[in-house]
Amino acid sequence: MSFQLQLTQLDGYCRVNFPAMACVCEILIDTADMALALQLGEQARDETRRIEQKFSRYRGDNLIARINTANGEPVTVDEETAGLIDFAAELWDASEGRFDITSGLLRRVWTFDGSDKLPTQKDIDHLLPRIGWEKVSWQRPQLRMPAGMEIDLGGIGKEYAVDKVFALLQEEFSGALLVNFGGDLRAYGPRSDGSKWQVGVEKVSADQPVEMLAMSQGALTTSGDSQRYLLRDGIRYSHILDPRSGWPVSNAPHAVTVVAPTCVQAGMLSTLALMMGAGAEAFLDEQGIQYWSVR
Amino acid sequence: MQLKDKKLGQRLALATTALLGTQAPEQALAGDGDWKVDSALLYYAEDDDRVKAVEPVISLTREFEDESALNLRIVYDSLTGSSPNGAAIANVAQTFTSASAAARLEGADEEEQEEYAGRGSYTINPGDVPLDPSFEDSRTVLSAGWTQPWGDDYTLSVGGAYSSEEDFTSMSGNVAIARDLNNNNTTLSLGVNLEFDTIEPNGGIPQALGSLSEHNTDGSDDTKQVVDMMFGVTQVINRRWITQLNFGLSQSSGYQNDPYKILTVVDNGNLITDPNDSERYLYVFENRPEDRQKLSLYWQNKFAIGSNDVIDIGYRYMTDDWDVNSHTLDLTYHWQPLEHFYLEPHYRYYTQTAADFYEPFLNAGSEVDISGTDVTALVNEASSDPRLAAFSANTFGVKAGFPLRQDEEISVRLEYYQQQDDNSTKAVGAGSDLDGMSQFTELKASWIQVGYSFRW
Repeated sequence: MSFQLQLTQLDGYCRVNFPAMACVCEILIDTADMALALQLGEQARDETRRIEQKFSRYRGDNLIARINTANGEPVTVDEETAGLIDFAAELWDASEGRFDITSGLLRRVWTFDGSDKLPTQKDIDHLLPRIGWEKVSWQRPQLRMPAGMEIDLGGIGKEYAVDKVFALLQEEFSGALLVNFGGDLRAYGPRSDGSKWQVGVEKVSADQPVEMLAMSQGALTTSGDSQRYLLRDGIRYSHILDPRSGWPVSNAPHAVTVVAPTCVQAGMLSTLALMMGAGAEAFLDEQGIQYWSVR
Repeated sequence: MQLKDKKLGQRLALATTALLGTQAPEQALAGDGDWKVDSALLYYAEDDDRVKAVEPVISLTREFEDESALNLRIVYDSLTGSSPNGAAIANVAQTFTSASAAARLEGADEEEQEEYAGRGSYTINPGDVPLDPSFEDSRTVLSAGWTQPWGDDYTLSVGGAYSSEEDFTSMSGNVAIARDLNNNNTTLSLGVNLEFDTIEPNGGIPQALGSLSEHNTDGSDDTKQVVDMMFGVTQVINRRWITQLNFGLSQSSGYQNDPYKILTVVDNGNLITDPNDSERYLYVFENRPEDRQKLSLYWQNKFAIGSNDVIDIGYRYMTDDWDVNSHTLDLTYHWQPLEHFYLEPHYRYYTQTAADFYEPFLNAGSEVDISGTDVTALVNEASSDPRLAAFSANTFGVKAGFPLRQDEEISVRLEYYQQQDDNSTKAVGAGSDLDGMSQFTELKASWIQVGYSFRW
């Protein structure tokens, strides 16, 4: 039997862990009341699993699967899904097409396993006609997508879940708390003893020291992964794909960590920064936010 | 490669609000991984080509995760221009030998000889304020402070400062403790500052009330110690009103004189030829008491108006055993019509009474005895320093601030200062050299300060 939920009492606060969203989710609650922590932890887990099941592209029984197999027919979506699609459409426009929920198909030809196996331009050209939000007709609440195209809300799902769980817990609990899904996190504080949550900013490679950041309010996300790349002829191909060309973005930082008011904002900014390639830091500077970039 | 749409952050924030159905907080509060830098450049100018100063300031603050904080500050002042030497305005020309310039010339290298040659003596036209044109100084101040929470309710701070000018050095150290009460609605604080100054005037320490031409000295340097104590209460009255009351005591002992300031000696309003130098009039160096005790009371109130505006009202009363009593009223309105713009009009009224030994000049006979070539003061202390005179002053200012984002701001401040003479006129003979001449020169000054704060 796999582990479902773990409650730990720590120095003045409680921690709840549960597996979801392909990582171990962690909730820190600034209370010594274990019963309360358990109740909040279960709510957090239920909400996380609900979002995961609803928006995962790996399941055959959800709305995403229906959209992706509609074969050109219109699909009417619920309020929550419509909200996510509206958000994705707005970001697609604001990012000049870099953030695109129809780009998931590119993973069929790009496998970032550290090897030197690059797809051919022909493979990519074959996919490009089926990629691009501009080809989709979205009239809330109705989505009509040409046959063969797919949408994937994975680029926003985890951050969305963090913010949703955070809001849910805040309705029930007025004290300090922290929601951390595999490094994408949102905090509220300071704690009742006046201290802030201590958050380690990942530096990707093991030999770099973790920088500790004291957070009272806000969110932090990291995009990038040193394990997911291709290396050929001395050129490193990051796993950040530009949906407009079908090729990886060149000269992107290994990782970008961003602080923003909400996890959704932080996640979009760290993702978009990587898509700016060599211009990642200039882009982040322009946003006027706190960030760390690892090259 | 950049996005053409520079408003991505705003669009993202709006889209996020729509998505999450809640108003997202505007700012994330995170970080102790960097320094907060406050930098400013001040340009100060007095009217009539008197003192001009340029002062860059850099202050670095770093807050640590346990809420302790380190502050480092560097100030550099560069002062040039002409400063009143203390002599009275007369309707005849007066020629002075500059004590400081003359001393600089002694043993100066060739370059300095050239620089100060013209300033060894200077002549003031009838009716003009006697200004010493050799005024030139620079000052560097380094200070450091450390604040540390102690237990749940206490905060400890320690700090030190070092200040250096060509003829003056100052070292100080301070300790303060603050205690939070009533759910942090009340804060009590107690602080002590110790300061130790050394002055080494050009040309040595002039003999108190000795004549300028003789320039007898009492050694080359002297010292001063200052102990300041402060007790304060800060009280949050309600959501929109915070008030602070500070009570201060200061004890200063040692050399308090301005070693370059002189006083004119007159006979019924007429300048007297120096018995030791037939080409000069008679002037004596000033002298002040060796001790000064000050007591001050400061009351400040901040009122929040609307969502972003703040009224700041401060009143300060100071009294000392030199008989200087002062009142200061300070008003600032913080008007913020836009997220990235605010305006702060500022007005200050200041008034003080004169020190009991303030004299615009000294009278021969009653205050200075002249017997042959001997010049002997009959008073223990006397100074014509306008800062010890009775005057009131108005300051009008405005600051424009442009907060760019959290902890980043550009600001510009303009201030104008004007004094009014509140002294009673000291009697002079009709038709004498000082008759009809102003006995106090009202100072006018303006300054501009440009500031930039950011995270580094």
